[in-house]
Amino acid sequence: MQSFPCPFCGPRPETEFRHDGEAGKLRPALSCTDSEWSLYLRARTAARGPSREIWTHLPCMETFVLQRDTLSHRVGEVAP
Amino acid sequence: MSGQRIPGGTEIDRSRAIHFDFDGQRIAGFAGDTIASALIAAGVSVVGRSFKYHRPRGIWGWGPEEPNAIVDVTGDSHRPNCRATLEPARDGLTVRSVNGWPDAARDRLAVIDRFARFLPAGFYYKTFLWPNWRLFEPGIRAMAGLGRVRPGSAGFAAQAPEDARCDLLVVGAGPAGVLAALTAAEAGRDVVLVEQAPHAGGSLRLRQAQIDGMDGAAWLRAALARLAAAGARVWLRTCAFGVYDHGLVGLAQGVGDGARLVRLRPRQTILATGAIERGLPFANNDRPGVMSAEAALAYLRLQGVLVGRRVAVALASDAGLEPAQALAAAGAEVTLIDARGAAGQGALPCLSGRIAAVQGRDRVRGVTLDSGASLAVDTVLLAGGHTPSLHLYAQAGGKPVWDDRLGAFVPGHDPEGLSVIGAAAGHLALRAALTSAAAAVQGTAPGVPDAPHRPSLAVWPQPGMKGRVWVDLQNDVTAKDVELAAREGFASVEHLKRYTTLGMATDQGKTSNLAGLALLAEVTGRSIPDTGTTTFRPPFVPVPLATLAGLRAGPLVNPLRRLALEGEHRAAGATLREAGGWLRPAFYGAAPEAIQSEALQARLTVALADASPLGKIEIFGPDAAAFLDFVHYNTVSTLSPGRCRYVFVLTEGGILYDDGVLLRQGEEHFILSCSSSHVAGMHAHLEAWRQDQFPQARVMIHDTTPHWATLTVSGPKSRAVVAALASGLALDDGALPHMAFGWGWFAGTDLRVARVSFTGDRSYELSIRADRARALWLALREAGAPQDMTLLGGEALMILRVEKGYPIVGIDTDGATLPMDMGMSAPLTRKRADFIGRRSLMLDEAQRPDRPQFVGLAAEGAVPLPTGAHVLDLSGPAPRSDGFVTSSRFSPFLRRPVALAQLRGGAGRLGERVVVQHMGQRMGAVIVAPDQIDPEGGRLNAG
Amino acid sequence: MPDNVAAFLPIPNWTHAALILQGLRISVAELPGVWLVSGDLSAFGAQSGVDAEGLGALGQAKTPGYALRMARGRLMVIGAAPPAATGWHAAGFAVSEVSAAYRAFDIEGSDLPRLLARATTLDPDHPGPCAALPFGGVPVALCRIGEGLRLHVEAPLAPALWHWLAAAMAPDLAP
Repeated sequence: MQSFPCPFCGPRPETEFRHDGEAGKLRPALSCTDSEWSLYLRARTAARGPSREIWTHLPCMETFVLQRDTLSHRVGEVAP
Repeated sequence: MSGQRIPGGTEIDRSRAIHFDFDGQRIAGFAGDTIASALIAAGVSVVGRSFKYHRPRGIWGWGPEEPNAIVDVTGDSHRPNCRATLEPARDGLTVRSVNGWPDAARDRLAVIDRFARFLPAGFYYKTFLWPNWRLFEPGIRAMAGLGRVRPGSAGFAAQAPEDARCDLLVVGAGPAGVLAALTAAEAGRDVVLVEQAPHAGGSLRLRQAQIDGMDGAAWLRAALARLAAAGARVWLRTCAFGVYDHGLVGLAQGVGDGARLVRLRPRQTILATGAIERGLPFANNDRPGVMSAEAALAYLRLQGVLVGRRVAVALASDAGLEPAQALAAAGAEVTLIDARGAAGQGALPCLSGRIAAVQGRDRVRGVTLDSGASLAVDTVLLAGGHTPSLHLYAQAGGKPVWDDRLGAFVPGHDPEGLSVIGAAAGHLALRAALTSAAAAVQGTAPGVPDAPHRPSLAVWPQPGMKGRVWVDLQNDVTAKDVELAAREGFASVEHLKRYTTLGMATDQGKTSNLAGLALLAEVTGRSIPDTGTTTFRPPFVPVPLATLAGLRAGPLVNPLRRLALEGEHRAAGATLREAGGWLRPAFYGAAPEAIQSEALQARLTVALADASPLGKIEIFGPDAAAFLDFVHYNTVSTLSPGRCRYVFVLTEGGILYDDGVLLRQGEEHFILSCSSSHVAGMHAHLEAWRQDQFPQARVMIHDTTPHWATLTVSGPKSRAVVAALASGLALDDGALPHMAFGWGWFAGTDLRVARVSFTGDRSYELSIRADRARALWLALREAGAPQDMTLLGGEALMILRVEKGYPIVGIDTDGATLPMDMGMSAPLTRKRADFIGRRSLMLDEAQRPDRPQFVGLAAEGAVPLPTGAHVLDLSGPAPRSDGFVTSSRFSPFLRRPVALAQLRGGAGRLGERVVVQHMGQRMGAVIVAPDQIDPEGGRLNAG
Repeated sequence: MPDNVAAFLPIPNWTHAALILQGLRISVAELPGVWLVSGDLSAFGAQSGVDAEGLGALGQAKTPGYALRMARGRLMVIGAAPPAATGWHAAGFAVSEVSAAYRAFDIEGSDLPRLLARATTLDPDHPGPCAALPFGGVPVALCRIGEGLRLHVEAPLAPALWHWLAAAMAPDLAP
């Protein structure tokens, strides 16, 4: 059971959070190609090691970016 | 075995005699006995039958490593698959051996052992295949497994899991663990010391020791007193079964017959988990009467039980000397057999060499050595060395390294926040163990006299050994099975495990993994470290699912939402059922007649339903309209205040996520009435997009659902009923048309009246604060009485909406349904703004003409089509599915069945007759528009 | 709809309900009125006089009115009168009345630390600024009041929480 730092509430168990995908993906404009849209929807970097992820803390609904290592599960910085 | 009770035993209370039943035999014991010690004392030798070959088995060990003595225990609760070595003997228990029919002593399936050569490891991959594996499967399944579950019997009392924190966790209250915990606690740290046994002490419970001039037991007593004085928490009967992410340690804390889950977050963890004694390899080393030397010492010193009278002690380690001497002092005739060569051990006769085979079937009768010599004995004790318990260390990410001197894996580098001391770190001698403990907490080790000892010898099973040499007792894996696995190409230690099942039983290979991989190494020509270990995974010992579930069982399995008016529904005779996370009235009176009569009456006059679970999410702010335009498929910014619109919400993939009704209260104030089962999801969805795409200061979202109760009055007479409330709101259709809302007044508070219909008839949704709902309910019932108003439960409501062709997202739609499939295409062409999912609707897949589309089906005949039945395409050589029935009911108003379906190209096929198939049966139906009751929509304004 | 009527525990009679357990006494508290406020909390505080910081999970509430911090930008205000008009305020905040949405349980007794250990994952030494957290599996807003704790739970889930409290804090069996 990992412990994640909600930028507002502080450290809370991972079961109080929802994973919202990888950080850094920009929503393409309507004029994008089918391929660009499909990549936006489905492609993931699936980083092995350090990764930047979007999480939401459900009790307060705060959405933020979390640095996390997918191998060691070490948790790093947080950006609201 | 010829076990017997003798004087002595530090952990039993001879003033408290107890009795229990074992396979019909009355066993006498004392408080402080385990089931195992009492059975041995009573002279029982066969306590179980082996998993595959049904060989008679006796007790091997004295703790959680026990592979053989698995029993079903019935006392206040029934618990299958317990280890007799851990279960306290209690008065009145019923204990049953497992895997023997009728019991272990008289097992009629023992004949299977004669066919052992046809049942090696993995035999089931190669046999019982012809003519059909399924013919043999039930019989084989019936023979698999050990204990018996008894449905209907009581489990142990449920315990709520607890969270806990500390500065230092020490796992294991042996000498090393106690010293580390004591030093840290007296230095002011917040310490938790856990021990899975009911008593602290570890090896000090059974072995003699001198520490700081005191004997071991006295030192221990003093140390525990100092621990208590220093405020340390010492939890006995508490097993640390796993190390998880971010250092969380899972503990199973014994409570009554069961255990409470404790989730402990220590800042630092020290493992003092000790080491487990190994056996030795020889033919028939699984016979009752072959046991761990250390276990024999434990039974003698703790419970006053002498395991045998004529005892052979086979040594590869000096750890076996104390058990041998103790048993001899208690009156047994003891002979040592030293694999390292006889070296003048003192008073006891000693032979040099190793055991080649054991004679006897239900009990040991004698041994033969590899020299050819033989001995008549009734017990064989094995001291094959010790294997450090590294399970928690490895779970925490530690990588064990091979120590050739010890013949065992020991900890390598420490993972963050965790270290290993004592025997678990390979310091098997007391002095070294205490020194390592002191070093870990910057303390000083107490004085322990130096005890010179001979080095141990690692004796592994060898390829080509004669006879059947057991490696894994519980899963019945022999040395030959390991060699077979290697021959067949399963040379990786992970493959060895899975092919032979070595190490996969409830003991998880505690006494067998190392022997198995050592043999594999030899057979495949590799070193032991190169062969490596299998992955260590929690739990260290079996943990009951009930412990992990805590209170989440029965009525507490999931918190259910209850209606403010539940009392009224019950008083009216409602049957309540779970729907969308709420407990709601399904029907009032006796099914199925009540359901049909409610649905009919609703169309004839008027019906009253409790729609309180409908979501009421308020959206505020200058950007609210633009935000809602973005979130919804439909354009909503053009909605006027006082008006409602039926809206869809899509995922970015364009898939229908939820439908609902949006009300505009003002320029900067909307209310979204989303479907009852999706409220939490919609709220989260709105919040996520608000924070992602919009200035957060200009859009605010409040979920006010639980504040409001909503009552629906529907039917041709509904206006008259609502008018009787005299709410002050004008109700003529000019002032309040369909899909408009307004505010009135009732019982001193605001009443919102919205003309929204889920039935297809004229309908009013009345919303009032939930604590005034009862007064409104009673007033409506009174107003409805002269109109023959019926109460409307969920089942009847389903009939009405299926008749009308109103879809429910998640029932009539699935994970691929697009809004155009439901017949809603206008926003795609007319709406200019971008919205969630828009780009996906432009893809080729979304534009295909043969997509499944939402239609109605009129069944031929009087029986409703089964939900899930497939509509067939019979044009090709074999029938294919063209779609399926999503909702189906019998309509009392139309006096025929009505159904809704998703059908390929359905919108263009109205009037076509199709064949519908379900479970081999075929029925006929005609494709119609979804609205089978009122396609013109006149009923929405009728009455 | 699955039929498992036998599994449902009855809704307590809230006017008389009390749980007397080993070391704990749980009773139902009357809440005067409850409002949700979201947005620019300092602007709201300036306009209403309410302390915009709000209480965190173990903050001490003073009767008759107090405010709980539910999120970075949200307060739950408890009091007899509305702190501001409901609806959108141009100063940058929104107000909704939710007085009928919550039930409050007051809990006193010597076993409070054990209750917190079973109901939450809260570190009592570092409770944090937010009063919203799961309690016995149910979302609540938590604060201290007088010598005890006060739980604010959404009314439809109040019976489930009550049953959980009774089961979780039932007297311990002898080990």
